[in-house]
Amino acid sequence: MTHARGAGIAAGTGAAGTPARYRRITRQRTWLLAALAAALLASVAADVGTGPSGLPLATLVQGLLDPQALAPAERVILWNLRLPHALLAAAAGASLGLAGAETQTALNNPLASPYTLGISWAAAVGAVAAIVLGLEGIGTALLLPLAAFAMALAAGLAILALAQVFGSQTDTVILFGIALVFACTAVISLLQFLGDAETVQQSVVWMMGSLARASWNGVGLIALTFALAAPRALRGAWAMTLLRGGEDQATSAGLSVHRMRIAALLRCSLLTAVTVAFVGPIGFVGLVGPHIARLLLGEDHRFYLPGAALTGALLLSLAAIASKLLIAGVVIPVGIVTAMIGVPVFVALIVARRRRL
Amino acid sequence: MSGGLELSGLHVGYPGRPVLAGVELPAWPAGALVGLLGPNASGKSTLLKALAGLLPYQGTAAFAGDDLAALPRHRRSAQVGYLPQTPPQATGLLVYEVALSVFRVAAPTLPRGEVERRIGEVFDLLDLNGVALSRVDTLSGGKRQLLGLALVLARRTPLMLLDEPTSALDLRWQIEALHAIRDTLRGRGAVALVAMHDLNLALRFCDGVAVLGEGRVLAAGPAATTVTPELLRRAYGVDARVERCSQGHPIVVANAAATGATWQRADAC
Repeated sequence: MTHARGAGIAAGTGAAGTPARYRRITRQRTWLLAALAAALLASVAADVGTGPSGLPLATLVQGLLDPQALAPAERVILWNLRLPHALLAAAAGASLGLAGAETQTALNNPLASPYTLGISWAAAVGAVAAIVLGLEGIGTALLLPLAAFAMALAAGLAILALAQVFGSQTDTVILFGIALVFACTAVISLLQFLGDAETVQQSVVWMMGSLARASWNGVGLIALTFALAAPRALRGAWAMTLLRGGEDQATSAGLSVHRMRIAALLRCSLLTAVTVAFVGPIGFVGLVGPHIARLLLGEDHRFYLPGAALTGALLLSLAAIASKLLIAGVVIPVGIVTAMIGVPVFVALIVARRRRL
Repeated sequence: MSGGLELSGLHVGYPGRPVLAGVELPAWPAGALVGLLGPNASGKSTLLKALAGLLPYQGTAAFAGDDLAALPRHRRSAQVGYLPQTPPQATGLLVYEVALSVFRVAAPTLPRGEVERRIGEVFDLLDLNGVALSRVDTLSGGKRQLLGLALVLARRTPLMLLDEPTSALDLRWQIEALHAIRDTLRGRGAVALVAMHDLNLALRFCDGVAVLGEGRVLAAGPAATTVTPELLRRAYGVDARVERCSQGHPIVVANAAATGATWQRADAC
């Protein structure tokens, strides 16, 4: 460039230092991601070590290395209860965190989450129908999750179809989602009104969100879906970052914003449908996990997306531990605990952030 | 003309609301800074959005011999840079990160060193290096507008579509920004179509102007000879004079709204 009137040149400040200083920032963020991952590992380990049966740590470690060394009852507790319970919390939290993060960016709305889009509520319709209509009793243990998954996926696909037909403008999609929430709530109320006291109670407990039905099937399916969705999401991290700068700018830089939104909504639908099918609707993680990640790591999606998954996983894992400890001998549904832990953490982070600005 | 921008029979609008019908714009040579003028709602932003690929249009928009509508998205983005009227969104992204993201998507194969050099050069020019590692949501409106302009200039596309690039800038940075745009064009033989409201800035910096009104181009040509009192009356509904300042630049002095306007007569100067 030949022009030399810019204040930067006039003042002799060069641009040379910026890339190096930015690389330092990215290194700090990488370390922060590593710290979150370490915290998650520690939390999962603590979750495995927590429970009413009071197995000693040495026994647990021995049982992990050599399951046959444990007594049958201890083996069942470790391998059939505690491990799937702890891993389900981490996998479900990671899925909801990633789904929420992608949705918030794709729809440019900090309140967007699988809940806002009505996908979690649609899953609840499937589950409540299975419970109230007695379908669970005639099928296998997988029938309830299947019903929840089918409804959540149908809701996700309906939103996608509407976005395809009417355009993927953020307001339109959010309004579809809100309409879906109301429709699903009405159907749930009707089903509960028609059901008997016992099934209504079961459905209410399911809707609180719980890890009590943890199984290796659930862990495996959620982890598989996450393993399929996360690399695709990360591949589009720069595009997502660009979209945060503004839709028109992103489009003129060659990005198909519509196609990107559709892909993000599809991943969100799949992640949520599979997760909610096994743990019930846990709303807080998908909404707040991304916000905490944003506060910690900024909005460069190379860090923000994995950060949201790790934060979601950590949040749900900590909640899982707390759900066993808050009342001795009782496991509180984890959906209740996520809000109890998450709200103060979230508020503290916001306050700390405001003080720094 | 090879290397130039040429519009022919362009129809653009929104569902149920045509805005431009039959826009004709003669070819502008490489290096030209073309001011897109016209009153509010005359279709300046609509035309730029259409050329940037954000709105569908009928007719022909050719640049450097290519029909813009027929170009695949990646080739079009390599040819056309667009500055929206709204500046980059106020988010927690760092200023430098926003610039990097533009390059990672629009020019993913450009070597990292070249990307850093281009960003640094434009940030220096527009005084953004001091805020390069600040969050965008801490910048003033003017700085955000300069950031938006920097994103387009750094990409160095042969065609730049700039929608009111100086509307939030103070007097000094209006001039700095237009110098930066002009120097970028001249150094690389690019063409810029710049929507502007400030006629005097347009007369001072633009090689040519196109004045929109009544859904089409009312007049187009060299800035100094195209902007006339008759055209201003027709396009803007004002009685105005076009005079020369002490350095010989043409300046527009608006006296009053033409018949039927609601604002009060200004003091003649």
